[in-house]
Amino acid sequence: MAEQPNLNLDPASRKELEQFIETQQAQSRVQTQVQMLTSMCWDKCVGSISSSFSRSEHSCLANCVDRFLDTSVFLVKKVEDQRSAAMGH
Amino acid sequence: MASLFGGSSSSTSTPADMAARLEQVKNSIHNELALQNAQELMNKVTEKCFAKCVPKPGGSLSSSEEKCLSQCMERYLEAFDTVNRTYIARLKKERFDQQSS
Repeated sequence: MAEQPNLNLDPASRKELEQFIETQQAQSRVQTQVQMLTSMCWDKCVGSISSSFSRSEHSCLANCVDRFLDTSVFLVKKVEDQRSAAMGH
Repeated sequence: MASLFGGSSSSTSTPADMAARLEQVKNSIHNELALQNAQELMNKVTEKCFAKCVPKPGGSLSSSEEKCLSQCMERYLEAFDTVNRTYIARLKKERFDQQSS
């Protein structure tokens, strides 16, 4: 939103555009995460290529996403716990 | 959006003009991001499927390599879809848990 091209928008439209950009940016961040996870989980879960995924490949892909997010939550909590323990002394 | 289309006036820049400009900008932002995402996905498909299907590059792509590449692309898009749905479901769940706690 650094550039302000000559759009001649009234304040309400400007606000609408800003909100639209914010949603698009949020969606874009989700898409980036999904791309990263697909790439990582593909490497972990997919064996040789055939006409369809096996049942285990399919569940591995879904588990991979959930466990990655669990890992993130777990480690963040761990760091927070350590920090609050250190502050307590 | 409809509220932006107020009464039509005879001035050179009507509210309808402005609404049209706004729509145009929104569309181009949306299209730009969709294009970026599609390009990123295609780059990944190429990288992953080349790795899986063309282990020893020869003088040309063999028909079995081409078959593998086609199937691989379908599988990668399917994997993207599965990951996307799982991720979105998780985001919704986390949001729900946060609200109810």
